[in-house]
Amino acid sequence: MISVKNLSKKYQKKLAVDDLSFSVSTGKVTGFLGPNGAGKSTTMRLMLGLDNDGGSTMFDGKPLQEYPEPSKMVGILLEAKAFHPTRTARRHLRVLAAAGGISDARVDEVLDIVGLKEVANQKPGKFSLGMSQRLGIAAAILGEPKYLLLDEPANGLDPEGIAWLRQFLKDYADRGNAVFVSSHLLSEMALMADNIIVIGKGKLIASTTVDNLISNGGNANVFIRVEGSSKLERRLKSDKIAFEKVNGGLMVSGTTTDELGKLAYDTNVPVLELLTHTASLEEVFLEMTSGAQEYKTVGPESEAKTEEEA
Amino acid sequence: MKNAIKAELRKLLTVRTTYIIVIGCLLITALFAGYIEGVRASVPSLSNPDLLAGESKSAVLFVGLILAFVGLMQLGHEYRYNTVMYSLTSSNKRLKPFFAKAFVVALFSAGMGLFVAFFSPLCTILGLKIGGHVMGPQHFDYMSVILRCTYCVFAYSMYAFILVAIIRSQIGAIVAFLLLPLMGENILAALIKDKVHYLPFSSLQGVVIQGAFKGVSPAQNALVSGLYIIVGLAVGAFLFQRRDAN
Repeated sequence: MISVKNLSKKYQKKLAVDDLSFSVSTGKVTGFLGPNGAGKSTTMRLMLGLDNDGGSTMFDGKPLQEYPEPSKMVGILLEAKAFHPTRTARRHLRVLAAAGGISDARVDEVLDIVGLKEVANQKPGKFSLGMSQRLGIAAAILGEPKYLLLDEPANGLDPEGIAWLRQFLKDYADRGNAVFVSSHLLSEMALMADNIIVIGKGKLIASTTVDNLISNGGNANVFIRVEGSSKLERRLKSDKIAFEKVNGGLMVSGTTTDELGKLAYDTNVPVLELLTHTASLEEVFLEMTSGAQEYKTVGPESEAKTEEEA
Repeated sequence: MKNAIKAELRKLLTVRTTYIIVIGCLLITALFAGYIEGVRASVPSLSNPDLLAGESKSAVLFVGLILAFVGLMQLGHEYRYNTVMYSLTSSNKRLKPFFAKAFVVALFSAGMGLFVAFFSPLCTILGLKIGGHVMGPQHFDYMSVILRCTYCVFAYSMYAFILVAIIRSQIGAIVAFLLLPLMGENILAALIKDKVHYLPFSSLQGVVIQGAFKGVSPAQNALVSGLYIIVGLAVGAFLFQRRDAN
């Protein structure tokens, strides 16, 4: 288990990570989510001891520096393009293998695993982002570490690559290892992760399972499409049930399909479609981090308002 | 530490820059020592008993500066390409990769200094033969030439290494390394006048060139530059340990 306690990092006056504590279990993929500037990368760097400040991170009860060969304990991918552009992929990995006390034979194994065997003797400076990510993943798994810390590993991967990565990380965790992975691809994270840690402005927002997060974080609504919806709308209003019109139907809150089906029957409107709408991880994430957005975009409506005000 | 040194050696030998710099230095040495001082040698220089020893010293003073870029890039590349995170997370002590780098840079530069010390006079001898010149009897104190040349290239490389360890930017360190001996020391020399041998790059000239500074022996100059290296490495190591990775 990785146990993170009271991590903090201050850049001049800005608190990038604020007393952050959580744990990462073995045998599971743990997703690490947060808006841009939330402090995800800084947290990972603090966990690895790359940045110095408050707090501690224990890997199986010990700091990483207490292991004689740390790269056999933790594999990292913090930046896809972290390699010398003219040193071939194989040589890049051989350098890392030497530093970690890992045999050169393992280099060819990992190149094969990530699908870069054909380009092993090419200079990675010419690699696409996806290929660079694969090389980064190869570097991370070089020492067959118990823990993998990956920062946005799916960036730049094609759909086949993303599917491969998802399965690979799930299998890696199933072998009793822990995978701690940050990503902005929330739909991907929903498929891949068992647990989720959400941070915003350097603070912990949630640390739970994906299922818990979705069921507790978002409101389960019911979508209904009927013939003559005005009749049902009047009934919902009289019963003080909240709803909104969407896609030719009604999205009704605070009810179930059973209750709404009966209500439609009582109101004497034929039901064409009736289904539970569960919030996606993306919806839950946006809802949870709405107050913790460091950088917000300005939508067309806001722009128009601003222009009017001007 | 063995793993860290092995990794640093691999880094040094698997980048194009190392070979470009080494080949460039050898070509420059061959051009100056072999062609200009050999093939096209002037008649008075042929009777100079220190012709060959002088060639060794001139060569290391010049190519030592260029070879130092290998030392600079051994650490500079780590910051430029962000590979420093791999170096740090592969080791259980932060200072291991730092001192492994310093050791490999020292080994490489001393070896190159030694090589250039003999390559340069060999080029001159070859150039003289090609040009059909005959030189007079030579005084070549092997031990003195070996020690001075090896130390000079080593010290240049360590200066460069220390600069990049402190500045943490490859470009910044290159600029500083070029400006310090050319401009920085000239300005300081105007201020401190007769104590120029206390400056880091000037003291190295005093190591290589006999009597460069009146009343100061090459050994004393070596001591001055050695102190700069020791203090610089200590400061670099302290910062490497205490600061964020990059």
